[in-house]
Amino acid sequence: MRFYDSYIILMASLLLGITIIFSMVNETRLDLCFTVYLIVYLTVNELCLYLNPKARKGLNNVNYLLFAGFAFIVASNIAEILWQVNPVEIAWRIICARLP
Amino acid sequence: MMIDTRYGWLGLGLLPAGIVILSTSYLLLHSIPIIALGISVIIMGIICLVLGKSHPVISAELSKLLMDTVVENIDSLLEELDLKARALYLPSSLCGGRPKAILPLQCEPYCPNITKPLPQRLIVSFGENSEDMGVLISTIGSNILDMLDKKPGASIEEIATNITTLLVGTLDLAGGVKVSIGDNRAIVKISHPRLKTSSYSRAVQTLGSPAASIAASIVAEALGKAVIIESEISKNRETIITLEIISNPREEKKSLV
Repeated sequence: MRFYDSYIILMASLLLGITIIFSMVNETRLDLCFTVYLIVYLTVNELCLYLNPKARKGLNNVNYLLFAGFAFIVASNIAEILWQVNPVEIAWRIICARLP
Repeated sequence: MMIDTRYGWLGLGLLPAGIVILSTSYLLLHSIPIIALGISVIIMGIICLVLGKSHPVISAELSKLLMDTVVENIDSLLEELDLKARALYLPSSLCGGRPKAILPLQCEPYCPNITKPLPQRLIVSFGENSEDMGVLISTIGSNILDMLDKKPGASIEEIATNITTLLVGTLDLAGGVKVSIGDNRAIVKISHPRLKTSSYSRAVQTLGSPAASIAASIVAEALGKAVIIESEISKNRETIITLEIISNPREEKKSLV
């Protein structure tokens, strides 16, 4: 399926390109990186209108997953601003404490 | 989850690799670019798994083999019955279920006036005259409409989107499609067609190539009118399909009144 191949190559090239650009400019904000990934993913999906309906449905479900990630980033940033706590670090400490 | 396709296997490889890269870079290396790389690999892994799930399991060679066999059988049938007239593609409203094509038994080109759904038989009478008899058959376009989310709409944009989705996205038969409709004609330009068919085949001469058959079925279903493949010209890696839209004379009279 050449259309699927083109879609995968385009998406992989864009994501890798963004990662390289961010590392070249010493960008250390992971939330910004994730947001750009999300925007690129949504844009490429909109451009590839002609994917078959079954694939499109599946990719729409991936949208929700990425939005959940984005919502988590926003929520953790809000928590950090309001209460000066990083939920990721807290979660990691809890996991480390429970590990034998 | 379906892991039978190469996209599925690719996704299954990328997803754990991404998780390993992400966790290693977060815990040991503390490197943001590598964490970002891990996230992007995970995203690619999920995309590949999703595409693998929607990808057909049977090979393209098997599909081609099945199609060639069906075309050969239709060829034999048409030659035996000596059918030469171009097929008339009918919408589902005139076939009682799925869109089909009728092959008139008489050779002279004419536009029959079909007003009521035809019976689900092989040989049917479709007109008022006794010689209005034809063979009602399913085409590639008859079954392909199931691959669409909903019935195609009547606007040019919807017709173009549906034909492109099927020919480019689903079947991978072409590089691109352009559609224009006007003056009882629909012109479908297919760029970089990938399926070569023999123009000497009786089935192709009467029913058109698979791409033309799909386009005719979609236009017929979208407009709710019968359609004939008027011509199919291939040049410079482009195929131009001209479809004649048969207006129902009674409907025209009603609209004039």
